[in-house]
Amino acid sequence: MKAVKIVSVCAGILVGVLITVQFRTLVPLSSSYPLDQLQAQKDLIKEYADEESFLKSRIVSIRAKIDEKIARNNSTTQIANLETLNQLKEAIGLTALAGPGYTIELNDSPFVDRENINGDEQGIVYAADLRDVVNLLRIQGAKGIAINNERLIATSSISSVGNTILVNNSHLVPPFSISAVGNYGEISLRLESDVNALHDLKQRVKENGIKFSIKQNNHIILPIYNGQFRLKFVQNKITENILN
Amino acid sequence: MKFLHKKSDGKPTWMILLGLTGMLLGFLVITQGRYFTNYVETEGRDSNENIFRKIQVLKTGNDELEEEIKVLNEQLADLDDQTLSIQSIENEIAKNKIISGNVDIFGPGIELQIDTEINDIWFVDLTNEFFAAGAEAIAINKIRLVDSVSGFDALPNGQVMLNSIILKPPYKFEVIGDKKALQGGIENPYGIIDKMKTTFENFSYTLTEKDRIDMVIK
Repeated sequence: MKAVKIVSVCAGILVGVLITVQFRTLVPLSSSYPLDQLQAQKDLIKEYADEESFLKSRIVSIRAKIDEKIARNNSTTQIANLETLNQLKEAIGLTALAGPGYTIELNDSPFVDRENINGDEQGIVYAADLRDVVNLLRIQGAKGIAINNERLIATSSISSVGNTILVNNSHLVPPFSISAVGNYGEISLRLESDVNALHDLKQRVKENGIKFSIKQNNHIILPIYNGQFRLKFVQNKITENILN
Repeated sequence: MKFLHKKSDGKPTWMILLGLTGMLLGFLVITQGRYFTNYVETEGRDSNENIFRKIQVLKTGNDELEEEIKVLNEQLADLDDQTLSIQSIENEIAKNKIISGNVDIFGPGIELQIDTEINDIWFVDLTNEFFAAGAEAIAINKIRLVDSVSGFDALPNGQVMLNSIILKPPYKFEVIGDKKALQGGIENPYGIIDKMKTTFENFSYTLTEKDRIDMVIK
């Protein structure tokens, strides 16, 4: 009888510990957040996103004017340099890219409202899903990738802000259309034959209603990267050697 | 107190209580387990707790776009002059060579060494966090991440391959950029380092600020 009492006490303690752990788990609870602050954050994000769109459109316009002026000047030195410049621009996403490829469409489950979700909702597309898809496309040798017409470069980031997603600091909402110039056969084979490729996403497509489809396209056109290149801290070693 | 020991049909009440406690215990263990699995697999990778940091990132991003517009406008003006025009194109080539990874580069930043074996998603998420925090260049075990580099491929044995090279611990992330911003980007509360500590038992890492990091062409 004494042993039973000890077991009961231990079980009670364990239940207490589990309840405590359950309630102290570090998961953001939207209901615990003041609504006015949440609205203020949303407004602020929208304001920055609008400003960002405007600035990016100006960048595209100025770059087009620069290209126009360079094309008009035709000295021999410039022509030689121009070829190098164009090759480099192509390599870093500063030219539009066209070619055969495919488009992956990704959308939330029709049964889920992105604006009113709990912390652990499995039926919406997360930034991590987009990162995994982009990573897979890079593995499969995609020559260029864009999400909702936002061209990705090596330093692009894909992050969550509240319930929406930032790509190159641009605010994107579903449905997500991931276009790539690359080999359709290779990516579709990988998706079919490798059970580990996008494993979590495939499972949520099956169990939670996320929409996923891939379509071949013989002529994809990816836009020019319209953001900034950060070069505040990084330096060219050759320049350093010349200066020294 | 006698009713606590015997029920009318003769079964001891403590057995029923113990049974109920066991059921509750089982329920809680499963709930907690599922909660953690979901947390790490999806929401855990994209916590929105750091919304203020993201707002800051947006603001900084817009400041950088304005700076880029200023530089481009100067370039546009230079193109009206023949001599300045040649110089302007050469400057553009030099800049683009840095971005594309065609030249050796250097700069201040941080070095993150991870001793624990991690899988592909953590490489994807870590580099993403660094770029979101303003990283200008990243190299992992001396492989610089530029447009021509492939993604992080998970091999069947769990190892991770980058550009046909298998990455083995210790993984060394060399990152050029603002030291404080980069460190804050990964070590903030609920940040990626916290998540890795939660995910991996005995997670071990070293973060060092560097005045100079060299990245050479392979």
